[in-house]
Amino acid sequence: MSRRARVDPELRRQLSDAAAAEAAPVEAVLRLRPTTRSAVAPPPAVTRGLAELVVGRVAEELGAAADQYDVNVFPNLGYFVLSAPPGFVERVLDQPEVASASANRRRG
Amino acid sequence: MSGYLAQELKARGSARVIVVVRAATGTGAAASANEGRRLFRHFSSAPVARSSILAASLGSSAPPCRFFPYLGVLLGTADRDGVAALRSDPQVVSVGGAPALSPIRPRHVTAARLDAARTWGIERLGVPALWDRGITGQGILVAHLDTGVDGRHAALAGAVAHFAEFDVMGRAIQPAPKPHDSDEHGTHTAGTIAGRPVAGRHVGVAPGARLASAMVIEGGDAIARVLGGMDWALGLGARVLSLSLGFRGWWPDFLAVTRVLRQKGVLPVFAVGNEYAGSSRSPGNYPEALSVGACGEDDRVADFSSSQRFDRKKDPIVPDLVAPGVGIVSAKPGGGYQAMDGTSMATPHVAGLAALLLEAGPKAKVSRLEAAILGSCVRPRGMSAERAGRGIPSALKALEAL
Repeated sequence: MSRRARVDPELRRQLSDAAAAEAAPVEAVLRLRPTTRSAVAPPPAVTRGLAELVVGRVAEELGAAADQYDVNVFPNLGYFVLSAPPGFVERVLDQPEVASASANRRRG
Repeated sequence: MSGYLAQELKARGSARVIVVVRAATGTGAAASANEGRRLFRHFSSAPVARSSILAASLGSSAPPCRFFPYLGVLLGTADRDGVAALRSDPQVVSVGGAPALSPIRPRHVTAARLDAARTWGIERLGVPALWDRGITGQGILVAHLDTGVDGRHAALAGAVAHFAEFDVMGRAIQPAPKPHDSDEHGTHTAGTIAGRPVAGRHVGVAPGARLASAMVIEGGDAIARVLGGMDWALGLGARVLSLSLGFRGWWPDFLAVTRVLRQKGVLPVFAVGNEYAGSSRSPGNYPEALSVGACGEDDRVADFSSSQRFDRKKDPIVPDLVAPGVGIVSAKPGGGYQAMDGTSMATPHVAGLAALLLEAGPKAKVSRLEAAILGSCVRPRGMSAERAGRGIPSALKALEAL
């Protein structure tokens, strides 16, 4: 089974545009994979930890401080939203805990 | 320039734009207001709608756009020169076509008095039969994600148990503001769900239910704002979600979260849209949603009510059902009442009905609650399944089926 996150075309476009504009932040809404087969989302108690794990891991890989990125977690839903430079968001999309992602704002 | 924005400017000479202001990305609302005000001159004179916070500070001079200082966003109409000026302003982060996520705007809005003891919609669903049994939705919390709500309206006194306004990252703005409406849409839909009787006259289907009402739409319209509202309402224990907003067409953004809502015991009641047959909106067109279209007092599907057939095995036709959505009288911000037409008006009828049923059967699972509502529906003669799904629900039949 593929572990790559499904990414909506609008987010792809915004990542591409932002990369061209040199590090303008991109807002992405990310869905975390459920931790059991029967669940549709991770439990609220672990969602925040998963989001922090993913962001922290990518920050460490890039040699950056995780707290410089704007992250908001929706523990009851299994989602988080991230505002970060496109290169950072791209790396987050590659993390196995991320199931899918979409642009936070559609710009027409 | 984005495709939408370029097309609109070419076709109409102006476009609805969303402008993100650099200085206003923090929480300093007062400083942001000054910054936003400076940019007003680049917008066309016609306002998109009533401004919220800024309108109060400007007195009677209506601004040419809507400004959301906490969000750092201006929403309005600008022509080609205005767009160019905004783009070149150093305080502007971005200028884009206004996003597609929007409240499902009513087709008609008219001044109205509340003369009858009950609205025709309440009567058509047979709701008083449940009231007669003492069922009013008491103890049930309904999530209402919309443009906000006027909590001071007489019909909503005591109905709004929780209120929050969310920023573009889905964070509740602190300190929490008092319940207010950035428009008129949310107060109307809230009144239909849980409006209290005023002088013996009813607009609300579930006058004993409580609302968790969140301002999540218009001005920095963002998926995270809606997710923030959903997450918040889930945490408060909401059992029903009434959502009269969406993207035109089919977009999967809310598909997974709608499944999460169902699994966590929340019935998602979503409007299908007001763009006529052959159209629909997401998330109202998901199989996982209880999708609501609009009918009139004549028992016909409203001509504007969206409907669409999808190439899928599960639930190929939307809407799932229709409910009263033409000439619906409900609360108006600031007091009084007005009538609106739209699937946005039909949806809170079904959400209110779900609240009544949940009071009667608080342990009912989402699938059972939904089945009871769908099973109670009847299509009057001449009403097609393609346009109306199962038809119009009956409160008493749904109660018996629960």
